[in-house]
Amino acid sequence: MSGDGFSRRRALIIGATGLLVSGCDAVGRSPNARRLLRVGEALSMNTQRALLINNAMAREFRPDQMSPTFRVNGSSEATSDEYQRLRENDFRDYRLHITGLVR
Amino acid sequence: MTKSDDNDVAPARVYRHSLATRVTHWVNAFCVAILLLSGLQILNAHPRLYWGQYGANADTPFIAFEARRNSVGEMSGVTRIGGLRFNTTGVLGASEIDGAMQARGFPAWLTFPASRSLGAGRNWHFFFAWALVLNGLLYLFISFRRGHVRRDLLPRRAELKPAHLLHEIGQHARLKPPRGAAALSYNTLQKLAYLSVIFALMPLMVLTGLSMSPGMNAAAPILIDLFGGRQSARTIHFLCAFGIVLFVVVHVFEVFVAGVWNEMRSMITGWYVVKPEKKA
Repeated sequence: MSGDGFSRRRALIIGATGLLVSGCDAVGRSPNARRLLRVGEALSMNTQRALLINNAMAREFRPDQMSPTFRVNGSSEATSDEYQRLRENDFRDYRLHITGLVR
Repeated sequence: MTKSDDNDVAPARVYRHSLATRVTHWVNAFCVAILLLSGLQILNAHPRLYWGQYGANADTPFIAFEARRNSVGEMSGVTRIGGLRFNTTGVLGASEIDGAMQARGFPAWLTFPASRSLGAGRNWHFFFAWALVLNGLLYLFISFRRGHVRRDLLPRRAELKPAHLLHEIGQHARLKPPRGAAALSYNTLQKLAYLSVIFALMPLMVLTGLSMSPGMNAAAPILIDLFGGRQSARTIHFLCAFGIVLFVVVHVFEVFVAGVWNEMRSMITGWYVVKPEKKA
């Protein structure tokens, strides 16, 4: 086998990989692929529902099995001046205004 | 591997792989490829792996692929494994997209879809996880029923003797594939590799994968106990995937050592050409 043949083969492999990768993303966006994936989703959902038929509860953990820092999604604290002012004395100044048709 | 080699003596053609083996092999190969790439897409949503029951941003990772910025704002990729740090700029932690360095666990060319999309990654991953599991069960059902596991995969007692294993390791190291009748059956190292993938890595992949599902945590809490936590399960899932990648690399390498056309033909059509034993 000559060196030429080898480098041609390698070029072919690299080219084919590139085509495959770009082809994959095109396939991934096609409506048929989405329909196919929905079959998998339905299968997962129905299997899980069947397994959870006895209304199994969420797993519970001991305090020592929890992270020392609780990870909060989004903001962990409101930043408005009003909120910060109320928080300073433990929300004692907070008043809930009841209006409308309440008697 | 040259032409003249094959033509020395009229080679014997043998039907080596059953249709079931061939079909499940290629379905499995395709599933593993998509699962690997979509799995890395999912990992990229949080490219840090922890050990134990908990793990999130503030906790110390076991393995992490992170991006760092220096004082002049240049981004670099850092891979952390325990206390070790490696500069992996361009591949792990930070890689280029359209010429610009971005914080990214694994590079775009190793994820499916290439652009960042956790939702799409999960959809593809779960679909092909089903395909892999159903295909794997079909393979196991047929292989046990036909005695393929016992006859072709389980090593004989003599094959497990240290002297024999050392001899085989030597033959592998010298890249000498078996010839003649010996080429028709799997060699011992090959059997052990296949057995560990089929009965250890693949089941571990499925079980650790299920351990990451909150629904499955409720339905089968034993999974979490088995792996010592959802985060440990996620880390084991990643490590087993790495093990499967290693297997595939060696597997494909050995296919080239043994003769790529013959091996590919036998895995596609079933027919294998036995090269006669060579007197050195």
